[in-house]
Amino acid sequence: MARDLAIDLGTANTLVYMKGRGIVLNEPSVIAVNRKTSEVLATGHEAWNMIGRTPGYIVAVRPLRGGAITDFDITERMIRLLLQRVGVSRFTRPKVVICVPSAITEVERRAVTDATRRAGASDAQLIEQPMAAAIGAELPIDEPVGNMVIDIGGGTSETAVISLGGVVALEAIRVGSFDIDAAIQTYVRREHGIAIGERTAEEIKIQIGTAAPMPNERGAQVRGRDLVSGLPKNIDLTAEEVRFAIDEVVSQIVQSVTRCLSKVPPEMAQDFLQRGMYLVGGGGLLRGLAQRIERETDVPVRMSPMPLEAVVLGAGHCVENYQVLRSMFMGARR
Amino acid sequence: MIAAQTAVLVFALLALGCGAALATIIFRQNRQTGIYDGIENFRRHIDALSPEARRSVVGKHTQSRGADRAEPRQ
Repeated sequence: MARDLAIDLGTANTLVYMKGRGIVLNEPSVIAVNRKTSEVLATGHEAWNMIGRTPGYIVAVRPLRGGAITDFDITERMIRLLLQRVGVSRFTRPKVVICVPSAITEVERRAVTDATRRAGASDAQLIEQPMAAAIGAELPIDEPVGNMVIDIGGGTSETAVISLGGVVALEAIRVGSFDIDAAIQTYVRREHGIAIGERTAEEIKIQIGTAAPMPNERGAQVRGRDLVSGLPKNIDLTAEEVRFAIDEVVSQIVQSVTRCLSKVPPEMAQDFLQRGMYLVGGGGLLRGLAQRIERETDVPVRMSPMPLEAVVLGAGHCVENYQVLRSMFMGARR
Repeated sequence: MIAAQTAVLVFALLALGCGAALATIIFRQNRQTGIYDGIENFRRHIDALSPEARRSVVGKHTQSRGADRAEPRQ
């Protein structure tokens, strides 16, 4: 008998929750494929280590961009491998709940469900990421009060207000922490004349990236390839420079939060002032982001205790109570 | 003799018709949503989202994470 699964198929990481067991898999959403034979060579951490360091015939790619499938065939194979790794076989076909961005189109929804069914699921249901995040972040969404959750993922940023188990207001943009990495890459190329890879940009963001001025800021030495000479080169990058580089992306995220707040019924405004908003997702870990949102909205911002796992835990709760919570799935009759 | 047989047939058909009508009425009544069904469904839905109901999922993960941290590093 197959155990039902919840999958947070994120642009950056994929997490799998198994009914009755908890989180059984957590790894980067990367797959390495042999171009000549179309064989899958590696997935997850192993494939992530290959990014930017592969010979011509191997390609290590993220099959999702902006929360949507960019390569249907590779995504299906990745899901098939994930299911196999957690023990799903040809004879055990589980029900699968997949977390997706709320802004995906009907075509993209169909692509995800089709890929999951073809990969071996008996039934595939979708749940909106902010809703799953609110459930997993242990917010009191069963009460008639406004709960605001900001989920900043690799490819999307979603802000939702939830009350009595339903979405009251929602604002989603296809901007996430990968856009912050890309902004750092562009800045270093333009201002310092060196090219850096996406992994180096991510390391810079984690080490010295800030969304607002912070005490004890420090710099970092960055290694890349000189665009003129083509030789390896070191440069010193300050936290202030990185903040300037990523400011446009951070501003877009903050503006989407503000837009969501403006959609909320006035009765709920006082709930936020008392209870605050909750940040989840890997992008929420950017230093100073909570302070920046707080400064621009005048609403307290709190970090969820489990920002990276909140979404899959919320979907996992729906898997544990599949029949009762069926109405929470996308496209279900409310 | 023929009249008796006809009467039996008529009564049998009547009994069958009544039985079928009764079964249809019961079936339709069971399919109709009662006035309290919506309330019950909503209550069940909200109860399933209560912090107590969610504690098992999130609590289990917190415990396993705590256990991982407590394990000495090799």
